[in-house]
Amino acid sequence: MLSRREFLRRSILYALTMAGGSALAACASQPTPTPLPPTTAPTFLPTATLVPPTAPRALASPTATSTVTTARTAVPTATMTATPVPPVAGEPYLVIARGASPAAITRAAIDALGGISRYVKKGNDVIVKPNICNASMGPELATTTNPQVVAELVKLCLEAGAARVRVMDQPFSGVAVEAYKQSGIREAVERAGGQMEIMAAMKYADVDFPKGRDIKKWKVYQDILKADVVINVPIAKSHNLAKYTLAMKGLMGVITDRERIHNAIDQRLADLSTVIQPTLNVIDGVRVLMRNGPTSWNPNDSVVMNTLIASHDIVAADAYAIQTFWKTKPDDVGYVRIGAQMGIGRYDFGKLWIQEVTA
Amino acid sequence: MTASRWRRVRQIAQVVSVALFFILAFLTYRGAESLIPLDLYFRLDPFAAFAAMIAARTVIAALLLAVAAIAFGFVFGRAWCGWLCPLGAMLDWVTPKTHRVSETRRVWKRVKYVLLIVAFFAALLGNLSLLILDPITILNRTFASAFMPAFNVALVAVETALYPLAPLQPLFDGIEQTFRGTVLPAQQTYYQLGWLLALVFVAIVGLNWVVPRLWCRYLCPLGAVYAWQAQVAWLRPRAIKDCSHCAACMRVCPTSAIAVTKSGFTVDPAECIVCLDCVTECPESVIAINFGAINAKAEGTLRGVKDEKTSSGILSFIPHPSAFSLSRRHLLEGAAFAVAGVALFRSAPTARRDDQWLVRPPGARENDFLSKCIRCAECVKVCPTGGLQPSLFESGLEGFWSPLLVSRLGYCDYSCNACGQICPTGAIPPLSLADKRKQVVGVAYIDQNRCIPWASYRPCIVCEEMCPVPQKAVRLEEVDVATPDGKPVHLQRPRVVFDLCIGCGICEYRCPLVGPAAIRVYVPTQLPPIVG
Repeated sequence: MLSRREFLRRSILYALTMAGGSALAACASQPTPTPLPPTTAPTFLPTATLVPPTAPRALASPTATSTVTTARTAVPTATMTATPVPPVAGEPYLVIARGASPAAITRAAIDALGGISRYVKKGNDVIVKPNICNASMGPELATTTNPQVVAELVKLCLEAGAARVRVMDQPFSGVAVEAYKQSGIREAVERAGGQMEIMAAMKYADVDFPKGRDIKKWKVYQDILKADVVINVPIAKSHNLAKYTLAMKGLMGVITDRERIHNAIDQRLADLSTVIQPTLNVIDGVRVLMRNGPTSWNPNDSVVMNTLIASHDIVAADAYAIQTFWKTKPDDVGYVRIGAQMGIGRYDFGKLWIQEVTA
Repeated sequence: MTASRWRRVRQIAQVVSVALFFILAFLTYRGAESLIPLDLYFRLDPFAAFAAMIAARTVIAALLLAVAAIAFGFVFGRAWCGWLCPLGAMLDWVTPKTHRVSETRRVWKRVKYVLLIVAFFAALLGNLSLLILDPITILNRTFASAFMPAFNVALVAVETALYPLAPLQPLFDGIEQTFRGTVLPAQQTYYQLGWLLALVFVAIVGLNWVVPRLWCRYLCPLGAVYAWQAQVAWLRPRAIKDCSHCAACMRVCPTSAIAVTKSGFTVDPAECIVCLDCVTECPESVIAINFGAINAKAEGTLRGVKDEKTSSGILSFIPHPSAFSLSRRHLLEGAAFAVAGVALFRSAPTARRDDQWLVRPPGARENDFLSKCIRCAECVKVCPTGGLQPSLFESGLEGFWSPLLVSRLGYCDYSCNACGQICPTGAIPPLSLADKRKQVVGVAYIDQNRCIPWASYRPCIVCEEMCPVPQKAVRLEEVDVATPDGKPVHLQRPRVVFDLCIGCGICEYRCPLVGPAAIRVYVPTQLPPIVG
C-alpha cells in the first residue's frame, strides 16, 4: 500500500520528469514551417520553361500563364514542405520514357527532368508514395505500382544523399503489412535500402484547405506534408467512377475517410491537390490496367506499355497519361479539368516542352 | 525445499502462467509464428476440450493434450487452480487486503458441479452454451473484444497527443512500425459487446470482495473438473500430528477448504488449490501437502463414508462434510436441466429461422457450428479487421458469444483465412485461402431507398470498387434518369450479382452512408440458377 507521503513524492517526481521531457522537446530542433517566398513558389516560368534550346513547341500566351502564376503563388499551408519543383531553363516540363526495363526508364525519366538532385538534396527526408491498393493482388495484375519502379526511385533518392526514404500507402482492402508484402514492393524497397512505413493513426491530423471549393478540412497524413520531398508514383489504372486513377487520385491514399470523397470525386480530388502537393509525380505505365479498374483479376485487362510519365505538375502528368494510354481527351476527365481550372496545373501541351526519352 | 519456498515457486508459476497466457493472446494475430501453440491454454483445458469433443462427436487431435490435464488432475488435484490458472492468479492478485474467514456455503459449492454436469449432458445433446463459463474462454474473450480495442484507443490517443514532442517520436514510430498489424491490431477494432464482457470480468473479480475466489469456489466449471478429481488425488493436505487448534490455517485458506466440524478441523480436498498458505502459516508445522495413497479406511471414500474415530480432533483425513458426491440423483437432475435447457433453446425463434444478421465466419455455417464452437474468441482476436465479434442473441441464447461477422464494423478480408487456421476445435474449418475465397458467408442486398445513386441521385460506386470478387459481385448499371425536381442526370447504380456474392461485407463496411449501410450482408439463401 502506498503511503500518502510516498504518493506525493512519486507524483512530484513524475511531474518533474514530464516537465523535463517537455522542456527537452521544446528545445529540440523542430522543422520550422517557413513560408516560401513568392519567387521560390512553384510557378510556370513562362519563357524560361517554354523556350528551351531544343523546344519544338510554341510559346505560352502571357495572359494564360500570368493567371496560373498568381493562382499558384500562395503557399497552401504552413506545414507543407514538399512542393512541386518546377523545371528551370533547359529542362522539360514533362518527360515520357519508354523502354523494356522499368528501372532503366525510371532513371532515364528522372535524368531527363534534370536529375534527381534537382528534387532531393543531401540529408532530405523523402517519401515515395506508390499505389498499394489491396492485400490480395500481386504486381502481375497491374493494380499496384511496379515494384522495380518504386525501388529505382528509392535508389535514386539515396544516391542523391537522402537521409531516409520511406515508402507508404494505405490499402483500401486488407491490412498494410500484408498488402506491402503481397505487392512485392516491400521486398524491392528494402533491397534498395528504403523502408516501408505503416501509416499510423497518430499521424493523421485535420488540415485546412483554404483554396478547396468543396473540401475545407480533411484529415491528412502529416508526414506527407512535412517530408522534404514526396514522390507520388501511382500506377496507371482505369477507374469506374473517376474514369482513371493516376497521380491526383492516388492522393486518396494519404487521407482518412476516403469513401466520402466519391460523392463529388472530381471536385474533391482537385481540392486535395491544393494542399497535398508532391514534389514529383511519376506515373507507372509499365503495365496499364486499361479497363475494369481499379482492381481487376483479369490479366487481359492490362496491357504492357513499358512507359513512364514524370512531371512536377500533377495535372499535366495525369492529363498526359490519359491521352497517352487511353487516347482520350483530358477534358473529359473531371478532376483533371477542374484541376487546371483551379490553377493546380495545366495540360495545354501545345505550349509545354514535352521530352520523350527511351531507355 | 521448505513450504515457504514452494509457495514462492507457486507465486512465480502464477506470474509465468499469466504472462504466458497474455503473450500468447497478444501473439494471436494472422500469420503469427510461435513455438508454443497459440491456443495452448485451450488445449490444456479439459472442460473445453472434452465438451467440444463430446458435442462434435469427433476426436479433435489438437485437444488431446487435455488427457494429460486429466492425468494431472488425478495426481495434483486442484493445483491447476492455485498454480497455473491465469484467471485464478488474477483473482489472487486483485483481492481485498483484509481476509475474512468465510465458511464456504455447502449448497453454493455445488453450483459448479451442477454447471459441469449440465454442461456434460448439454454436450451430449450437441450444445456448448455453457462453455461461456470456462475461465480460459472468459479471459480470452475479454482480452480480444474488450481489452485490446480499449488499449489501442488509449495507445493511439497517447501517441497522437505526445507525437509533437520530438524526443518521443522515435519511440512511437518504433512501436507503430514494429507492432502494428501484428501484436497491435492492424486497425482500430470496435466490439458491440466490449463493455458487457468487461463488466463480466470486473464482476468476477469484484466477487472476491464477497468471498475470496468466489468464482473458483462456487462457479467455475473447470474448477469443478479438478475438484472432482481432487477428492481422490494423490497430492493432498494432511495433518501429520496433533495441533493446538489455533485456526491459523483456517484463516489463511483462500478457498475456505478448512473448516471446523464436530470431529475437529477438516479439509475438503476438492476445495484445496494447493496454495500452501496453511502449511507455511501453521505455527506448529502440523500440515503437510504431500503425495500419498488415499487411506480409504481413514479417509472414507468418495461416496462420503465417514470414520470419525480416526480423527484425533485435528485436521482430519475425512472428507469435508460438504464434499460433493455424485449420486444418481445429481446425474438425473443435471440431465433434466440440460434436456430442458436445450429443448428451450431449440424451441426459440432462432431455431426455426436464422436471424437475418447471423453471418458466420467462413465455412462455419456448413459445419454444425454451435456444436463445435467453444466460444473461445480466438477467431475474434485473430480477425484483422475486427469483423468477427462475439454475438448477442443473433443465434438465440444458445449461441450467446459465438462469433458473428458484423460487416459494418469489419469485413472478411479477401486475402485472409486466419480464423479457420486458429480455431482450436475446427468449428471454423481450416480452409485454404483459395477455398475461403469461394466460401459464401452471406449475400449483399442493396437498399435502393437509401443508396446514394438510387435515392439521392449522386455518384457513388464504393461498393462496386471494393468488391474483391474477380468477376465483381457488385456491378454498375449506367442510367440516364431525371431527379424528382426534373434535372437529368447520368448515374451508375450498383446491383448485386447474387450468384457471385460471397458476403465478405467490404461493401457494407465501406458504404459512406451514416448509420446502417445501404448495402448489407444477410444470411445466404440457397437458390437454384436462373433458367432461361
